Amino acid sequence: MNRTQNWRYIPLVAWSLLVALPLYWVLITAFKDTTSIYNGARWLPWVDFHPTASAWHDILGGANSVYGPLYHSLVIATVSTLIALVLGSMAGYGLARYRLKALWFKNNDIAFWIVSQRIMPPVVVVLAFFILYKNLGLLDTIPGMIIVYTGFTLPLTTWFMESYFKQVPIDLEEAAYIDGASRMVVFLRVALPLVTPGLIATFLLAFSFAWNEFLFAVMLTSENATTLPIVIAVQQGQLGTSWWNICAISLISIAPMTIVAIVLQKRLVTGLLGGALK
Amino acid sequence: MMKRREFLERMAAMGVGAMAAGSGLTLLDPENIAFASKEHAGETLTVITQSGPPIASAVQASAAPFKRLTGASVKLITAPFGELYTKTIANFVTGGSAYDVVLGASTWLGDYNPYVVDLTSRIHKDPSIHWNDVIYQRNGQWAGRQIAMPVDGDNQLMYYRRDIMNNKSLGKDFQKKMGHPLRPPQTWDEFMNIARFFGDGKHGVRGVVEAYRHGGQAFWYYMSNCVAWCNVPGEKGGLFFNPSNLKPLVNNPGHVKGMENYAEALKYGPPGMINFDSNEVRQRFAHGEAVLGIDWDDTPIIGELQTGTKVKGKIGSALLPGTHRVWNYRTGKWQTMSKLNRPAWLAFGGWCGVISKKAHNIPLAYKYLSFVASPAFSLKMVTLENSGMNPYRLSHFNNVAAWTKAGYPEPDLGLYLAAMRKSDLDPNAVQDMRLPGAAGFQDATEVAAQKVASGQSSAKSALDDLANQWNTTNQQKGMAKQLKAYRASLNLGATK
Amino acid sequence: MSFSNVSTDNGLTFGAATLDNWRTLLNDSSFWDSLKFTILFVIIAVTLEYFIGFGLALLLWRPIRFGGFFRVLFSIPMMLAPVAIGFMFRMIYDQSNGPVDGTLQRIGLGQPPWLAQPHWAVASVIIMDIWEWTPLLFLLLLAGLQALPEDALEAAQLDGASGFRVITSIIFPILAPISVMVVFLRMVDAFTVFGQIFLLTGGGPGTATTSTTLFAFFQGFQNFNVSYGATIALALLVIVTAIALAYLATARFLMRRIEA
Repeated sequence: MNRTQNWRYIPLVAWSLLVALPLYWVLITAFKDTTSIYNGARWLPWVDFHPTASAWHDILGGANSVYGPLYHSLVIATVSTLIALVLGSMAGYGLARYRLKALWFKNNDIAFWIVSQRIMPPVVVVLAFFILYKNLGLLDTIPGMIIVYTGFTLPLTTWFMESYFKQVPIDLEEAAYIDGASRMVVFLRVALPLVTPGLIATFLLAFSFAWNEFLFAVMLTSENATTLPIVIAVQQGQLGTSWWNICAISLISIAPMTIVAIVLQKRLVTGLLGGALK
Repeated sequence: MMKRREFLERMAAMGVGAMAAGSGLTLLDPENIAFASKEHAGETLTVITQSGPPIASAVQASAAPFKRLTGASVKLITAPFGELYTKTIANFVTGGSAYDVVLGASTWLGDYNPYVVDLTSRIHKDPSIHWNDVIYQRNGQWAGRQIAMPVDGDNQLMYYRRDIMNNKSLGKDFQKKMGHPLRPPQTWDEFMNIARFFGDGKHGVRGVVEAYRHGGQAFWYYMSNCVAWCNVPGEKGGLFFNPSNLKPLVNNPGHVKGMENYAEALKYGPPGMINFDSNEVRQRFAHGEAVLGIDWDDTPIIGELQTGTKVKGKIGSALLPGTHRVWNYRTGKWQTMSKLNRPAWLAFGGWCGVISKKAHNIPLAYKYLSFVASPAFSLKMVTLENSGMNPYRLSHFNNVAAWTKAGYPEPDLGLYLAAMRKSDLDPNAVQDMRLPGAAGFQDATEVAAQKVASGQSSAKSALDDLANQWNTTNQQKGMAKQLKAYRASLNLGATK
Repeated sequence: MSFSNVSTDNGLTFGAATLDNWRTLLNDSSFWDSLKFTILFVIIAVTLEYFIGFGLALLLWRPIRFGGFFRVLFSIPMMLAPVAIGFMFRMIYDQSNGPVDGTLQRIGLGQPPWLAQPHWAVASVIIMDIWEWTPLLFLLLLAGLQALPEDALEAAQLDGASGFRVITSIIFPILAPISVMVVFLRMVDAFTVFGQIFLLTGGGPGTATTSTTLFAFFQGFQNFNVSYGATIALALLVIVTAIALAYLATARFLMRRIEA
């Protein structure tokens, strides 16, 4: 396999360009104003348009400050993902290691039933949540949003974690049982460490969902728990769409995920590997 | 008591409009308005409206002076325009008290009606509001009661590039090709000819810009194309439903004609116009991409005042074009008009403020609406580029100095104020639809219009389908109830 | 909710349960149109995403310089909020001020009417989805590839099998179980596509890109016909569940044949 395969760079670079073009456009638009947006395509700052940092002033402390929503997003996404991960690992472990039977449902059916929650279009339940939350006083609260997102990511984390656990050889756990360890200890000390890469991968996918979700956020929050996607959407107003703000906030919103992806990219690949194996 | 509109007409006729501004309505600094006293210190008023800057920025601007006056703080909550109706109505129907004041669209009043406070007597007892100065009273009325405070005036007008209309050599070419002079269009036929002439973009500018996007306010632009064809002067309710039996009128020949024009105009706009919302219309016009534009009063403000605009000092404003024949839905025939039929179209009806029956402090909420709508504060707002509020008081038109000070150049300003005033005072002005479920009728119309504009369907068959859909919706909501509501929205009595 | 008649005039009231909503639904051509578009969208988008993702994973499977860079770059799109992606592609597809049409025109390829004509609009929506979600399939399949048993590959190499044969007869079958699951996951998500299309085309022109979820949203929220919106969404749920079950059954059957 030492043959040079430089031809591989051709499709790789081609796809890179396709991926990068919209991202580049977002990056430069974050430094544009109406004049440089509405007079034909402008590609290069200082060459064919004058960059301005006014969008950044506006969203970092100006009239459209994103600090509040950024904080809400961080708290809601992190906490809900962590809860979903803890519960999902336990449920996934249970499904992977124990034979379950409830009426005529067996493990596979239960797994499918859990995943099928993903099939449910959120539009169906959002109004029900609105009414429920109004009565419980959970509208526009951070705990309220954490509960919703935990509920929505739990199927995903359960399903992924089940696959990871299934992939880990059972011998190690059996050895631990022989040494007299309890179920909890085996789960925490033996099984869980083995799937760390899987945990990271699952964390990223679930976090990405909670970080980017729009419909629930728009219906259930108004001020004290608004998230970044809402701030992006409200940049479109009656007198004009603030494209520069949309782009600047989008960049802020992918920054944390991208940094994590760079740091974890090696582990991420080995982590996802297990998740898919079934 | 003299009827509102008669009074306005007579005032306009006598040219005493200016007096109104001079005498009772000295433009007080907001700080000095009568009801001042900090009796509400420590209280908070929650206001929801659409995300800014438009409208929301006006609420923000009102917070500090209102606090100085009453001691109460204003808490602003915003939602994107597309979600505002859903959020507020969901709060109302579930009995929520999340918001004291909703600044929403006049068209939603039919749905808001059961949940909001009747303001009639409060307004009559409030001298600081200068009620007779308010032109847009009807947009806050429902079945004869004033349930909302108008804080904005809305009508769709036509805008044109004065520099191009005055261009001699273009005028010569145009006369040769179209057989009539190039001038600000009076009729829809002239309008379409100008659009056709510039439609290919070879003169460096396209023919026309309007909004077509589903969910981008396209409904009102489409109706702009229909009002003159469908409304016999003096008859109420020719545009949407027959007010005696609620039969949809959207598939009559007047609408078909309007739809055909609207669909054809798509070809003469900037490429991709089918996806333009109202924002895009204003920006494209401001960047000199079209000769003609149809829009609310915002296009010229942006075109004159936004930095980087290419059309400053070149914008003419006029009523929407007219027609010489009108479809009479009562007789079922085209009616030839000796005088050009050019009704104003009070599209959207403006933003207005309602007070929730569950508001924490209704008197305080009223004081807030009264403050926002006060002559002095509102004048400041309507002359701003980004407040989203357009003139709705006579004094707004009469106080020309405020507009000049804001940077609006003549002669554009004269044309703009004249067109708006003419539209607002038009005795045959066509009111927007304010029926429960209005949002659904609008949504279905936008889909139908796009189908025709993108060539998926002919005007007639799309409008026939639309009429069926409108009818089904009314049946689902209950014919009798809807008919009653429709007549109430037109301030008509019960059916005889 | 879908079996009742929810009225909003006097607080939220639930009328008597009826089957009216379901009867209306079956006769509603807009519903069937939206379903047709949704199914077409899912089939084309997910198929292309799978093959592109698979191809990219094959290219990056063996060590290559800058491999880490490509991996990170390729995975960025799926981290962006759907809302941001909707707005972003509206700028990209803009025929006057966007980056694509101007460039195509300059090199003489004309000016595609991206969002303006029904067929183009469908294509535009699919392209956007491919841009956004190929990364997910790419990452999961790459992970699967890296777990391939070396011995099987070496044996094939010794037999002198061509690269293409190795892929079709060895790699592909081994990856089949993963493929089934990742396609399942993506398919189910694609059926409920909403925010991106809402912001990109608003479902237009006409109803050309109105997905069933979008249709349910318009009925339930824009028109506030709550019970009908819920009916549509439930119908979608039933249909997707049926398709998902059929898909899994077919996949299991095919895999058993491969193994045999």
